[in-house]
Amino acid sequence: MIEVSHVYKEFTKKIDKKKKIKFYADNDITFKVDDGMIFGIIGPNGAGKTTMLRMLSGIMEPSKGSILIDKKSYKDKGIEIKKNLAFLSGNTKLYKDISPVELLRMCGEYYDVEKDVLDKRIEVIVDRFDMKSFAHQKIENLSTGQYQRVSIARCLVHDPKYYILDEATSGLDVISGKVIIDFIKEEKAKGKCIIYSTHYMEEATSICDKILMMNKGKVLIEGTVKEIKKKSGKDNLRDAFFELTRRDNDG
Amino acid sequence: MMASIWITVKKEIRSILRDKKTLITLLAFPLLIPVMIFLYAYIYEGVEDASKYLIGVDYQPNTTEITLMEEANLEAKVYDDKEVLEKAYSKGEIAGYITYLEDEDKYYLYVNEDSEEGMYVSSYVTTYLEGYNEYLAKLYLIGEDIDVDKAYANVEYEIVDLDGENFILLMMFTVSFTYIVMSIVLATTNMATSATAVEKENGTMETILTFPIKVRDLIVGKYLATVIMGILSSLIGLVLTLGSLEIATNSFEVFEDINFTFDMVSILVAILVVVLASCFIAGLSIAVTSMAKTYKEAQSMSSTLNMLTIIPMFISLMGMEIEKWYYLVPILNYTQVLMDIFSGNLDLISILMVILSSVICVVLVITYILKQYRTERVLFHEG
Repeated sequence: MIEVSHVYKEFTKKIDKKKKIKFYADNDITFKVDDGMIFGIIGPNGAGKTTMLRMLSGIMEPSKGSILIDKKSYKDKGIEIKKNLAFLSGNTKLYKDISPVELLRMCGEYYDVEKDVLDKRIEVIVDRFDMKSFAHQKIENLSTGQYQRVSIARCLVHDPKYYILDEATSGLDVISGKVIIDFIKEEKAKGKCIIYSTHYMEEATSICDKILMMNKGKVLIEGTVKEIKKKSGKDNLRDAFFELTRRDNDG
Repeated sequence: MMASIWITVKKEIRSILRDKKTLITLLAFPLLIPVMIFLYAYIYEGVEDASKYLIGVDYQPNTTEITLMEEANLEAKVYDDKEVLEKAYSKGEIAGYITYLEDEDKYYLYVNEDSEEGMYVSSYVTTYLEGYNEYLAKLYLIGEDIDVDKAYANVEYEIVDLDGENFILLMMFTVSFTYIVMSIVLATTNMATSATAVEKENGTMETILTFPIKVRDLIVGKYLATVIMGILSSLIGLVLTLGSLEIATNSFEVFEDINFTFDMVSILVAILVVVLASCFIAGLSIAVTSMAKTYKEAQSMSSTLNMLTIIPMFISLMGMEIEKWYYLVPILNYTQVLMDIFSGNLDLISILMVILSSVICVVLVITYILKQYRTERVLFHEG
């Protein structure tokens, strides 16, 4: 279970040579995600999604508030939490000068996966994501779809309990996108907990059990798709999003 | 902890070794050392062998003049008149020319005294004409039945060559050992750039931060990989420098008199010095390149380090006296102490000063890096 409680993230922005202003990228964010759930985070650019996901993955610290994963906090059990978590975003790129298999092996070593287990797991992953034809090519030579499959594959190498996925299907063709959506559904079926940020409303509607909509660092609404539609008075998530954002912008 | 540090070291070294361009640069740089040493040797030996200059004259020199010219490293070619001489000079056929005006009974030397060649020609022609003048004077004295020896051999002298600073050796040593320290800077800044700024630019820094590794272990791994590259590059440079100097001293006359100390103790002390230099410069490189967001930024920031390595070369070549405190200044002291070791001036106090200052600086720079990497601003350049 992931519990986010009154989390704030403050940054300082340089206006000019002398002037700096402080602002909150995330402002009093609270939500809870149960195991076996796909939790969607939706919001326009600058809504604070990436910062939130970075804090959830332990690479940034909240300025205020708490994040508990399996009742543990990053301050005390950071390494333990990270061993059970995989974070994938547009900002988490792959090393281009190595092959997918070398990358998976390196990731496995970092996650302290035993060599025999790692060998078998790499074999299964390569097969699952149909990577055999490019498993030993340099990553820099892969197509966008192949690259994204390797990105997902490296998240699986330590068999994590939690996935934090930021725009995982962004810029992919239909087939590559489907591979990832199927993978998310499979992991959910295994009881894994997935936090999923996306721009695609249809995708969010079809796979997310619960959705958190954000705007300007604040929570607009949290609930199931049905609840959001009801509260916004709209019959689809896209219109609901625009309506709620409009209401928020109007103050 | 050790495992994740070691995985990071392996990752970083593999990354740099797979980048052919960087690898070629790192290996090519130390290779410049023997090229430079042998080039210097060739040029200096060449100056002695090929110092005969061809000059043009508009008169027919007699046998005495021809002999005097040869003794003065000159060879004369006769041309019809001044106009032809001017053309030959402008075409570069001759290094200068002499015209003789019978009306004035005077020789005129035409030469560009601002050029190195012109300076030599001017000096050699002066020697030849003064010699010829002396020859004619002696002929006159003989004609007048005057004792030539009494007129010319009143003062006897001999030049005795004293041991002292050998400029060629100084230049060789300074430039070669400056190159060794420069090769450390080049290797470590390249490695550090790849391990920090390039990781950020490529987005892999964020990926690795999601792994179960402490930021402290990550940066220690990157630092150690940078140290290893510095040591590798400096050892290659050291081997090439010592090997080249040893061959040069045995093969070129110009090196015959140099005092080049090449023994096991010197080598071991030199290895200690380059290891210490690599540890410190690697830390400095990581600290500097960590502030950059991109490869270009990192390269521009680290160019200052390269500039620092040139300072000892200037100090040495300008003949400035080295004070003891100089051995406490890292980067500047490495070149100096390496020169001391291999020119037979191994001084225990200087070595201890270098070790002490290096250890203190390494501790300071590592502490700084660890502190620096705790801030999200260095990792993400946000906020």
